[in-house]
Amino acid sequence: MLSRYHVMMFSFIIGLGIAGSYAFPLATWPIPWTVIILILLAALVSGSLAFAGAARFASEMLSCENMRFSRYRGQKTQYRYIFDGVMWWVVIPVKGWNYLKTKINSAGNPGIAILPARLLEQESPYFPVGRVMMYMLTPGAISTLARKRVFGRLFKDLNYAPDGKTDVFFGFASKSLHPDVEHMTGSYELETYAGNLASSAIDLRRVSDDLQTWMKSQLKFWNQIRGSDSAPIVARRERERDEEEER
Amino acid sequence: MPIHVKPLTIVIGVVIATALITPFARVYATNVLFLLSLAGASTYLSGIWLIQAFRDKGDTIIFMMDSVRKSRFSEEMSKTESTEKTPGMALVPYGGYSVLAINTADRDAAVVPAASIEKLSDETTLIYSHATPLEHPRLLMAVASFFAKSAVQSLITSFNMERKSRSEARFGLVNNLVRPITTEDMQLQDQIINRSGVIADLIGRGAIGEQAGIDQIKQFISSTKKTSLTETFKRLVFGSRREESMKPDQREVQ
Repeated sequence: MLSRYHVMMFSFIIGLGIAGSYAFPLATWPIPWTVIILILLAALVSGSLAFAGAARFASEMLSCENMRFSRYRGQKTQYRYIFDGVMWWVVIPVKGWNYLKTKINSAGNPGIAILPARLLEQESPYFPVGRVMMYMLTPGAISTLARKRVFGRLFKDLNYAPDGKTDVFFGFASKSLHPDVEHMTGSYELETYAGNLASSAIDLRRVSDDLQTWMKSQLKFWNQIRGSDSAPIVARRERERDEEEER
Repeated sequence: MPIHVKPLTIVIGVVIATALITPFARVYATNVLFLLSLAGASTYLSGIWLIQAFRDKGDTIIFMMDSVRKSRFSEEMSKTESTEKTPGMALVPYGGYSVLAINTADRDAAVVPAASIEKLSDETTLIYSHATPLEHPRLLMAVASFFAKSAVQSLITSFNMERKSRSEARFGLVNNLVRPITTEDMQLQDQIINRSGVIADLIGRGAIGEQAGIDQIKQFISSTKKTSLTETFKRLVFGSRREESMKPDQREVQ
């Protein structure tokens, strides 16, 4: 994300360019102004695309089995539930983004995802999971779907027009649906884990105390050697021997 | 064979071509250094966002109970089996990405119950455990030292537990798929984590034995000894001595 450091580096590079243009005023390149505009436009477009990509990573997300959609959180972004006489469907606005770090957002969700409500899973509203394969509908497919009255009413409510501005994704057929019992392996006695760690801590404390005692005795021994009358003589002999070996 | 061209493409093409024709495009002598700085600065900004965009495009891991999304490069590295008292745990690296010809090794690691990990698809992994972020990656040594050591040694990840490490470590012991997680469960998990600092220190000392004492004495000596200006300069220029390793480092793009 963009931090103060990045802004500082950006300013530094520009500042370097300005300083360079004053220091070397003759280092010029004759270039048509339109080319400069085109280069700046290209930089702006690539920057915007990269920004939108970064914003999507920082946004809420609907994860499905074959696609992921970022979501804009704001006004009129609630889920809708519709009943077609057989089952409930959930309609989720998608493809927008909130980049909280930069305080900029997409101001809307230019797409909707329709999936069976019972295949929507949600531990928190930020990362819902759709256990379905998603397919993007063509205008023809949307008009076929709209023949069913509830979906027709839905598209009318959403002011959907087949102008390519709103993408419609339709999900069905789950591959990953499975009972939670598959995850119920092992026991979760947290006290046991905590107990194991506590006993290893006691054991390690004993080892550490032993080491401390060992170190104290070593230091005491070292002090005894340094403090003895013969210590300077021993040190001198050691040094002479080392010097001879070096020669 | 008919060639399909969008009308908008033709319009853009005409605008560009017109802009490049000399009668319209007056030539100005522009300073090269200033132009270079403009190009460099915009590339720099785009690059920062592009890395985040790569993370969005690549594989992802979602900590469902904490509402956190991270990018990932590799799969879970190792795991243990469950017993009648403790769950089987797994080491899950994350934080890297792989898009097109660019990839970065996972810098972070989480240790969570193996049964709380679920693959929604090849690109998306869900974790149903409250994985608490640890204050420092070194604390993973205290709560799951066997996994921490293998993550550090692994050449697949850039996870390390050095003092100035940029790695993040998470630890979770509960599994929301088995039963709803209560406040008491989380308190107990937190209790385990909160005293991990002391255990990590003790493990550090215990693992290297007498060398720990020697190191401590050396540390005492070096704290009283003044470094010469030449040595400081050498360290500044050449850096401190490090062992040769095939392990990926923690820079963004490798």
